[in-house]
Amino acid sequence: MRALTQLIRHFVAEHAQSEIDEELRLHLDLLTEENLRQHMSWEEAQAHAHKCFGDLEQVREECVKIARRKRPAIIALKWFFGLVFMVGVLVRVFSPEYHLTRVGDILMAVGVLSRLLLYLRLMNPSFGHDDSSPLKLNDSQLSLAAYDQRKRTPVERVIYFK
Amino acid sequence: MAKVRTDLMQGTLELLILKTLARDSMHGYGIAQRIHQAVDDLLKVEDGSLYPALYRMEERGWIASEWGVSENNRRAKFYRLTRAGRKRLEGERANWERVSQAITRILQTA
Repeated sequence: MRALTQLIRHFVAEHAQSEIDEELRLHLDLLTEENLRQHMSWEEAQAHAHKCFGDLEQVREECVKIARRKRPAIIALKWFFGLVFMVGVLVRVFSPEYHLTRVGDILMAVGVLSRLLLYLRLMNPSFGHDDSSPLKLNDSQLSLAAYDQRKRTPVERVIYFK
Repeated sequence: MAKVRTDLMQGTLELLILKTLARDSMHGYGIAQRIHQAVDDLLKVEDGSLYPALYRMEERGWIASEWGVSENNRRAKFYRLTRAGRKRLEGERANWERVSQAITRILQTA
C-alpha cells in the first residue's frame, strides 16, 4: 500500500512539474516575444524577459511545493473510494447469500458517499484552511498579521516602487 | 528616481489577482500584463511572483484553472474566479478600504 502511494505520488509530482514548466515557459516566451516587438535583439529580449520574471528556479520550486502538497492524498483517496465501490459491486453481483448482498450494498454506498463528500470538500477547499483575512481588523486595532512578512514566500517579497 | 525595494503587505498580491480575474478568465501572462497596465508602473511586481500566489489561491479554492489555447495558439493554463473567490474579493476589498482609511487617518493626525 505504501509502495502504491509512493508510486502515485511520484507520477503526480512528475505531472505537476511538467505542467508548471510548461506554464512558466509560456510566460517567458510571451515576454520574449513582446521584447522582440520592441526591437530588442534575441539575446536582449531573453535577458530582459528573465529579469522581468524574477528567479525562475525559485518560482518553480515554490509552485512544485504547493502543487505537491495536496494532490497525492486526494488522488489516493479517490482511488480508494472507487475501489470500495467496485468491491461492493462485485460482492453484490456474485454473492449467493442475502446477507452478503447487504454488505455489497453498504460498500457501494460507502464508496459513493465518500466520493461525494470528497467532491464537496474539493468544491469548498477553504474548509480546514486558515481562512482569516491577512488584512483583518477588529473594532479597535490593526491586525499585526498584515505586516508579518515572515509568512510570505521569498519571491512574493520582491516589489519595487519607482 | 532610484528604485526602492520594499515588501508588499501580506494578501495584497492575492487581492490584485482576485480583482484582475473578476472580469474574465486569463492565463498567468495575461494577469501580469493586466496588473502592469492597471498600476501604470507605479508598482512593479515581478511576473514570477504571481505563480506561487496563483497556486496557493487555487489550493484554497478562490480560483480554478483549466488548460486551454492562448491567443497565439499555445497551450495555456487559464485561471478563473470561483464563487468562493468572488466572496473573498468582496471581503478583501472591504478590509483593504478599512486598513487604508485607518492608516491615512493615522498619517494625517500623528
